[in-house]
Amino acid sequence: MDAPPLSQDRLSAVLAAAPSPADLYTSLSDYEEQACLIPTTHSKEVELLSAFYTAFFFSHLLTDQIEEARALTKRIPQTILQTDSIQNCLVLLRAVWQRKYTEIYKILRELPWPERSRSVVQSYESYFQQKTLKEVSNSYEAIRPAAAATYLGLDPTLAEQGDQGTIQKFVACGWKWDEKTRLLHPKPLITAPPKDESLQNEFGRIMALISHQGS
Amino acid sequence: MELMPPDVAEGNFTPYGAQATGPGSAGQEASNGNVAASVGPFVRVDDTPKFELDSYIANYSGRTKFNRLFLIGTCSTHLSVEALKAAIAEAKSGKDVSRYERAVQALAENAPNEIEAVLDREWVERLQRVVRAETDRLEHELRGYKNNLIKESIRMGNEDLGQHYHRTGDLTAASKAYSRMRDFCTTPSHVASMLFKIISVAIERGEWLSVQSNVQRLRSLQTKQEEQSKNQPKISAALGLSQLHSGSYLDAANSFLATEPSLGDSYNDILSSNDVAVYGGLCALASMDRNELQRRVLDNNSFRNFLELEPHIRRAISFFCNSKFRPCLEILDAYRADYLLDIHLQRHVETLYTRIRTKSIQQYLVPFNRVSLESMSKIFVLGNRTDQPSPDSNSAFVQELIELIQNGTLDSRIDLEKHVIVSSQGDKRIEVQEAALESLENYIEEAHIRLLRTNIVRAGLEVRPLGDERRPRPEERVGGKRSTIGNIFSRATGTKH
Amino acid sequence: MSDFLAQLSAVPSRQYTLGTVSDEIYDRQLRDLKACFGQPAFVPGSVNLTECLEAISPSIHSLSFLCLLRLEIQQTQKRTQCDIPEGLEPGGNLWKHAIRFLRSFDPIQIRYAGYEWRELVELVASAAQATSKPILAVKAIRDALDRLDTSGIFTSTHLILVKLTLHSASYTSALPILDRFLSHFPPDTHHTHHEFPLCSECTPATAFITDVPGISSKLTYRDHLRFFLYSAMIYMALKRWDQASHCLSIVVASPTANSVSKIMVDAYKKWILANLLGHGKVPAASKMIGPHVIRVLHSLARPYISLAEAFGKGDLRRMGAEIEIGQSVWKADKNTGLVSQLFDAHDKFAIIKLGKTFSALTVVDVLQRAPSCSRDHFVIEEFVASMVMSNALRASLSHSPGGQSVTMLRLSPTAQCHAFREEYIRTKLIKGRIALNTIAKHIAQTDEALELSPENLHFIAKSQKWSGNSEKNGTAGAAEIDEDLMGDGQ
Repeated sequence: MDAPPLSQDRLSAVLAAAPSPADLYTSLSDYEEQACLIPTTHSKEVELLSAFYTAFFFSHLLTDQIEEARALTKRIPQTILQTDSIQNCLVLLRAVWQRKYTEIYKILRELPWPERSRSVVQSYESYFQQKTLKEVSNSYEAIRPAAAATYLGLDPTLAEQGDQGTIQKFVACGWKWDEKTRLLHPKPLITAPPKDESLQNEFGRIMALISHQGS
Repeated sequence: MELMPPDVAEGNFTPYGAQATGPGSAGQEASNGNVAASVGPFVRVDDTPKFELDSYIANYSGRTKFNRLFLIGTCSTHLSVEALKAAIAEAKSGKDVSRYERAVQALAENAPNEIEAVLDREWVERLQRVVRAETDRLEHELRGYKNNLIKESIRMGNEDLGQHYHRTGDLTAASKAYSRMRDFCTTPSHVASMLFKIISVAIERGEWLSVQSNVQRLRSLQTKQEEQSKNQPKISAALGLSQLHSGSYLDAANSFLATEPSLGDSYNDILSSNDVAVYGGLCALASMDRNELQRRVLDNNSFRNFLELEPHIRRAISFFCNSKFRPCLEILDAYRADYLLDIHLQRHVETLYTRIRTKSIQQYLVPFNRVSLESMSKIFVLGNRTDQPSPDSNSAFVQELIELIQNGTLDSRIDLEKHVIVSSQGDKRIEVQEAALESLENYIEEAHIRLLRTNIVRAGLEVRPLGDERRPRPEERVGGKRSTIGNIFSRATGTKH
Repeated sequence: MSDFLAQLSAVPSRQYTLGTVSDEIYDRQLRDLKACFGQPAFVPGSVNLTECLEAISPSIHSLSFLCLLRLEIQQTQKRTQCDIPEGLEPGGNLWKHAIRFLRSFDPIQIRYAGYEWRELVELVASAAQATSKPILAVKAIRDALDRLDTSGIFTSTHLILVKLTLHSASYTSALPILDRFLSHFPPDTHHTHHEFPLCSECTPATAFITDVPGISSKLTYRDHLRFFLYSAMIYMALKRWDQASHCLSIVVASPTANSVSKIMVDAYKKWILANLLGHGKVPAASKMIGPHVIRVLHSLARPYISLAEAFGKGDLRRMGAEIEIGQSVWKADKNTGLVSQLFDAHDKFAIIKLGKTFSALTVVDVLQRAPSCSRDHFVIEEFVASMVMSNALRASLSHSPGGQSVTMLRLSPTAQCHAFREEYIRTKLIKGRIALNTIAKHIAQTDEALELSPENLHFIAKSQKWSGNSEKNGTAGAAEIDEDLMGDGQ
């Protein structure tokens, strides 16, 4: 039951070991009590806690718990809140909250994140990119390359000029490039929700019976 | 002999207040001391009407003649002077001083240079004297009859007095005098004649409830066959008129449709056969569907006689029945000015026209899945056909459609991309599923709350007023009473004994 | 020392033994063990309690462990003259034992020490509060409640949990407990009829919570009202408006005896806001609320009602004015945060409503047709896009070709959109079905507890004449479990 004490190495191990964002979130949240008990007087501890909360914060974002991520920022001790890494997190939170795509990518890529947090920052960047790609694909029937590039964190100016490299990236996702109208036509990405329970089948049958002419 | 209860609509009771203060019932206010003179015209009609004033007004007799002329004179810009002059002439031939004064005043405002715009004081004074003398004489006579206790004389005395008051414009007094006749009527035909007189005054006063109740009395009256067939058209027409004014257009249409063509010019002091055709036709157009219109209006042999008097109404209805909405609306639009100058239609033209238009739009959309806004506006945007640009999203017509959709009249959606209107075929499948989900969720929530309530009471945990030893803090509550605690408490724990 | 340990370990949790001790014997063993701790001479003076605590497992010998821990805590408290001695502070020795215990105890054994269990929970909670680290107790208490499994019975521990959750702003931690239906309350009086010994697997929670005094402290009406109000606040912090609104409805529709609690008024105010934010409109108040309660609520929540009116009419100017005027009210009620979200909610619902009139329009048209609180041409496009992308608006966007930047918003649902929707509804239906089963089970339990049979109900429905009730009989299917019938049923 008792987890090994929290340390930088332990944190790295947890980050490396977690098979999925949900697992990462669970294992990090088990450490929150421990983190709470660590005094924040020495710089070494401050550094550890800052790294822990940064990782914990990103595990929220990776599991789309933005409201809880915001709550987390209210729980972080004052001294830790002042560290650069956590300040970056706050800026990122605001940008994600307001869906400022350009800023999000900029924060993730350009702000100085501590070495140990790099991996989780990067995994969030690719997660966010994938998530946005799915959302854009399902929302837009036709999109200007510059707008699409902004959403996905690519260079909008290049995309606007019809840069083949950029366009090819979209085409690789199954999108169609219309040279004449200079528009991209995204291909909807439908991910089938997990269907496992027998209940699903039962309801499936009933719902199938409600035919279009049914009422 | 029927015993009549006092009429609810008598006295100062005016059920359609808004209508009663306008020119539609202009006759009453002056005599009632109301503010008719200061109320401006209901509408200003700048378009030239199609009718000839002379031949139009020749259709009418009695007081309605002046009222109609006065209305036209105050509302129409083109016919103002002509109508007011005719109104003054009409007033001068009668005995109602106040309407003469009003007509002169109205003319003075519009055309102060006309000779008629100057009040003929001598005539006014002379007539006032004559009227006073006549009133005195008739009242004196009536007192005499009353002393002699001869029913028939009293009835006639009251009738004479009523007629006199009516002619001189004192409608309240006229109505009272007519009502006093009721105890002295000895035959059904006397009752009928009295009721018609009361109805006539009530129509002029705009007391439509009174009209309706008196019409009901007329209907239940046992009179001779030939008299009944003589009265029927007038009864139907009066009823239709009152229903028109109360906004029950379908009822009004039915009443006018039931009016026998034998009406002819027998009710000219109220309305003409032409009016029956117009009122009935418009009300029917506004309230019936295409089948009904065909069956009950166009194929109606007796109403055809009326429609022949106003062939354009007949044409409009048959265009509507054949889904030719533009010509139908064009005809109506062409006659808008005429109807706005009609004493009874004026206030209802807009509503009736809107309903007809809305119905046309609805009917038009029925067979289509999607219709381009352009082709629709070709039909429904009246006016110059040539310089119509394709409607943009801000045109009045699109705005009209938006409002119709928003208030639920049209079950369609507008596509501002392709400029089409699409009938919304909501996905029934999803709708059923959503409905199921919603009722399930509501059920769960309500069941949970009810279950909790039961168990809260069982555990004795209801919110209690002050004084209960288990919940002592005063600041937690807002206004409570002590009285029923014992009762409640025993109730709450009662089941366990 | 070893004798003593042997005594302590005499009755292991049945989860860890293969033995087939009958319920009766096990029941007696546990009662005996519990009784031992009542004797002052039971614990030899030579014994080091701390060592004992280390030696026995909280999950196998939960009863012994709990009683020992309590003894140790009491002794420390006496020695230090302090309610929360150092050892009990987070991180201290006693604290660690307590947390270890709360996360691993055997729920059956604890039935024999309900009072002690609750005392420990409360100590942990106040220790965490005292050091201003409420978060430390939240998960431990949540897990403890989870292990105990009160199956739908509200206890004072629930209230402690939501309070700590709100204090610590760790909202999601309480969800596993909040998302379960609570339908029962520990009854007022004890009736002791034992069908099964307390330790039996078959003993329903309703019985042991009733029979074990002390597993919940004595409740007052304020406790459950607060619990549901706080639950709603947790849901609102997570923007789960439906659940929040449900919890608030529970508070507002709570049965009353000629009195309205201030908590109900607060709940009503929040209920208005939660519905505006979640649905864009305020539904009619539940029929279960008595007319006198409604009157009081209306008169005390006037600013909220006129705010909701302005919102409903889409009257932006009036809404802004109402919000401005009511600043001090929102502040006093601690609703400023919710009120400030109204503008966004207004824009959102105005745009969703467009879908009823239009099947496609440009984003510029959107701004014109659904006037926005604070957005201009560029921001509205972002806003609309974010609504579409987050599935708040079922529509698709399309950029037009050519230089001018026209974005078309197509509101007509596509086939693919339907597939999404259907899947979503299906998931929700399945959830609803599970919830319905839970409720049905709870209703059956209540019926049993009330000793109600269908004949009863029938008779009561007929003779129901009690008029002083605040409640009109609802029309819903659940009407037969109306509380009314209890007044007449005796």
